[in-house]
Amino acid sequence: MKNKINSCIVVSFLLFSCDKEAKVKLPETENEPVVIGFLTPEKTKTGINLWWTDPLYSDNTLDGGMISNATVSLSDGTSSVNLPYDAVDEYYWVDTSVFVVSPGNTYTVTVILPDGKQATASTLIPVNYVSTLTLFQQDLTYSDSSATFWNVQASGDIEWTDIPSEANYYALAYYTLLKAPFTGDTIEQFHFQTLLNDAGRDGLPIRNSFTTSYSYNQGNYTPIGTRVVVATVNRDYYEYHRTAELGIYSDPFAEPVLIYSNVTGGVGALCGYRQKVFDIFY
Amino acid sequence: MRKPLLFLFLIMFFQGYSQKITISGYITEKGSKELLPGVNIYHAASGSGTATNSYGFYSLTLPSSDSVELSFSFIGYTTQVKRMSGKTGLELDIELYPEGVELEEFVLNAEQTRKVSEETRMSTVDIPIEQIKQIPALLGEKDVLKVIQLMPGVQKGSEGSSGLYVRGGGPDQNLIILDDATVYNASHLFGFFSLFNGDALKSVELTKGGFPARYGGRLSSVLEMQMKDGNKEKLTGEAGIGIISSRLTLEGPIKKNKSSFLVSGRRTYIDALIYPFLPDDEKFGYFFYDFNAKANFILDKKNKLYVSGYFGKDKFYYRSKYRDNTEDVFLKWGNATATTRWNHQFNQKVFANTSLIFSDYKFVIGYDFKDASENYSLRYSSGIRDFSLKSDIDFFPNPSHHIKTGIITTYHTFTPSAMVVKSSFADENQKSIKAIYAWESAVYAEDDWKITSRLKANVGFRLSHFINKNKNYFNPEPRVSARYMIKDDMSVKASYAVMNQYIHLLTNTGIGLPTDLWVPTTDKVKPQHSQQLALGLSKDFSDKGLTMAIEGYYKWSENIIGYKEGASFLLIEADEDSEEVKWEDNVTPGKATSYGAEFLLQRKFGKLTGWIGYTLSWTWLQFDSLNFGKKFHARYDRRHDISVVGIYKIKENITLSATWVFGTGNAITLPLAGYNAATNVPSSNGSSYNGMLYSNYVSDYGEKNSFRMAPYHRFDIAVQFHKKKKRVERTFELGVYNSYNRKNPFYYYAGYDEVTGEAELRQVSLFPIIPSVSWTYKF
Repeated sequence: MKNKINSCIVVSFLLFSCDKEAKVKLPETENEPVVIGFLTPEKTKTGINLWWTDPLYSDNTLDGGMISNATVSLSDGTSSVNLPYDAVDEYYWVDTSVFVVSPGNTYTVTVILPDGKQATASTLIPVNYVSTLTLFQQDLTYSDSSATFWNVQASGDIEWTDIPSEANYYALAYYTLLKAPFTGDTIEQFHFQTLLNDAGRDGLPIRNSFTTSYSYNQGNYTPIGTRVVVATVNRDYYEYHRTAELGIYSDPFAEPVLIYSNVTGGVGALCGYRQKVFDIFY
Repeated sequence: MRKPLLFLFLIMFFQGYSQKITISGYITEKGSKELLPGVNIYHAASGSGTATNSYGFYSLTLPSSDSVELSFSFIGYTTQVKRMSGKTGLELDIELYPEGVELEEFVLNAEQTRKVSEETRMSTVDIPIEQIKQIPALLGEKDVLKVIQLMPGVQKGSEGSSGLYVRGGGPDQNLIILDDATVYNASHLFGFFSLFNGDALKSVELTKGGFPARYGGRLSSVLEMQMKDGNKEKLTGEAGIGIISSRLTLEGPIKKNKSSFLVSGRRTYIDALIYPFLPDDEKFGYFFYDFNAKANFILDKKNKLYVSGYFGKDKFYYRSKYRDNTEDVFLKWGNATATTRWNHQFNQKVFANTSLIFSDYKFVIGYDFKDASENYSLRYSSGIRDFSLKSDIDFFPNPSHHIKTGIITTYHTFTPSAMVVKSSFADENQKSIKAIYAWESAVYAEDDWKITSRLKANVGFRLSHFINKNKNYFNPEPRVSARYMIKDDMSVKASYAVMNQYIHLLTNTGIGLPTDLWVPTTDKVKPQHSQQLALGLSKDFSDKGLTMAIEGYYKWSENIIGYKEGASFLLIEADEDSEEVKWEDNVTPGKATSYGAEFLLQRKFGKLTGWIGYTLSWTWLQFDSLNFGKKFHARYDRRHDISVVGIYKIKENITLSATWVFGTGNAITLPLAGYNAATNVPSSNGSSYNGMLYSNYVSDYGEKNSFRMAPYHRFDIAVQFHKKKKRVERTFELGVYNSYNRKNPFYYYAGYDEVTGEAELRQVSLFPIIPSVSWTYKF
């Protein structure tokens, strides 16, 4: 129905309108590098994604393509390392045994493109992370739609204490923990991610509610709990994710969303975070 | 501190104890007894003067003398000079003759006529209704707001729009008043026409700065319009036929010279014209109409009663039928106002008016579906409804003071989002109407004070109050404007005003769609607040009938609201079932700074009338949550704005008029590129270089409002042929809008060349050259 109303408004303008190429000076519309990296001490690889933007007012074979022939280096201010390109997974990475990402350090990525142009970005890895989490309750609702097909809905509240005297940003990812029928191995099924900040509640408890739902066949993977990954992210991470997730909204009347970037000479973001995994079993 | 105050008090009131006489009365139009506001009354011997108030009342206290000579002048009327005994006061009602003769047949004497340079007020625009009717207009539809847009300091939003952007302020920051009632949406047809029918109006005045204390509730401007009272002597009328609409106005006495009425209506007929050409199973159309009515009664010499109202509606509809299925979609919106006013004259020096006012604005989106098995109906609406009580007193204690004081209180009912769903399936029925109630009140006092023969000031104070739930806001609003006569025909002026605005308009289309939502100040959303400083120079060239005004202004505002990035009015709808009013979460407060200079050279008399206006201005916005906190240009930041308006009487029966406008292009946010802004989800998988990577294709806009649209310019021309007979007057008008067919940009989008297929920026323009013809018949 909304689309019809919007269409009515648009059609009424088009009844009067004429359409032609705009004779205005356009801003530069060359391809720019998109530099994206998420650095954390809690991973064994440190990687950077690199691809081209797709300018809207020009046709270029580079549009949106991967950049595989750039020189990418990462520095912590005292030492640096080149990140080789992985043609299979299509990104530049290095093992953390070669180059360590440490809390409290600022890292700078430098990208030198084949034409000599350069893009750089820096980010600070948070020192603190959330080490304890309180579960207030977890309600489970089981329902069956057939003798063998089941659904479980889990809902609850978790709470942690904000790290005091600093601006904190959090990214919470919720998963359902699944147990394999024969091996007993566990895997995680992603549900949603939430971004939070501590504005107005510095040092105070922060509570977050969740509801997950998982349908399964008896005899296959069985849900056994909820996994919460609580990441303490830096402002680069928070702003980039907040704006990038808003930016895909397609309401034609919505305010344009400017995507956060800390990259000089390109777009994208270099972000830092720490994380801890909490499992809440049913 | 006390001594200066005591001194001022003594000056104010002991000035009145020498031998004085008071002359007071009402000024009306000869032939209709229409009360005339804004008529200048001037006593050349003492240099004292005054003007009639909104109800045609004046009071002038003068030193007693053997004889007194007063001149009464008003644009469009023959100046009258009255000589009388100056020994005793008297009540003197004057009838001014409309210009039935050529303007140059009477000589405007600089000694007799008050000049613009002498007025204390600044940043004020008043345009005679007759002049509005002579200026060329889109499709021949004469439009008050579009003429106001031609004045310096006032800008239009986009092509064809009737929205006003005054000194960098948004369209919600204009207080639009029709007979004391606030009009919330002044647009027909998505903003292309304003809803004010010039045939029913008596006066139009725009104040864009240096606000007197009697005005409040908006930051940027006050547009005050008064409807005609109706002819008290004979039945008269005016009918007009245009390309898209026709109109009819009738006015006449109910009881001769005691009471009168006016009714005026207008309706478009595009829908009726296209209806026969549409297939039977699919009909769509658009229409608007408006209706003004007024009655007034002279109860006795000291009491008058006025009842007036406005009602207008726009509707866009689409109906389809396929076998048993019928579908009906519509969007409609409209204003309704009603005002009852009681004038009471206590004595020659004290005049009071009390008004009871109703105002309502509502838009509704509707959807009905019907087939053999289901009936479904949905109504989504938003609106605002006010009831106000207002009382104002004019007090003329002595020649040096004109004091106005008053009180107003308004009960607002906001329904930013109301949804009613009815279905043949009972479990789908819903009713979600969340109204918000608030009181807005103010008390004010102001004094138009002649301090010396050269220095005059309007000093005022307003205390405003707003309460929503249990949250109270009290805000003092000092106001002052002053002029100092450098020469007899030249003055410098200055003003300072503090304004507060307690209601906000949520808009992100920028084109004045009816879907814009009015919302109140709450504990989270603070009142908008502004301060404005203006300096000016005014000069009269009386021998040439010219006035010139140069003004500079600086305005800074706080707590203006805007949608957060990614938010729109459709999101408001998404919260219909929530307990809280979620629009508050979709807005963010910010600051605005506007500054600039305006130049106006105007000629109101003679064969050639009109004006040249130029504005040089800057408007910056800064929101912590937008553009990453960096300041950016407002969409309607316009560096240069020029308007040239000329009306030339070629002959007694032929008038030629033309306008040329130029404006810097709007500042917009334009998508420049797209890219995959992949995001990360933290996960337990330690061996991955990151968590889970999600693809997000987004647009790259650069900085907010960093792109300029092409400049806007246009030349309109019209010629009117008048034919006067004894009792009737016919006017036939030929007009051409956008006569050199300039393709002005309405919006841009990323598209492709139809031939080469290459990507390019494309521009959509609305109005090419548009000829028009209209015919008006007055009797």
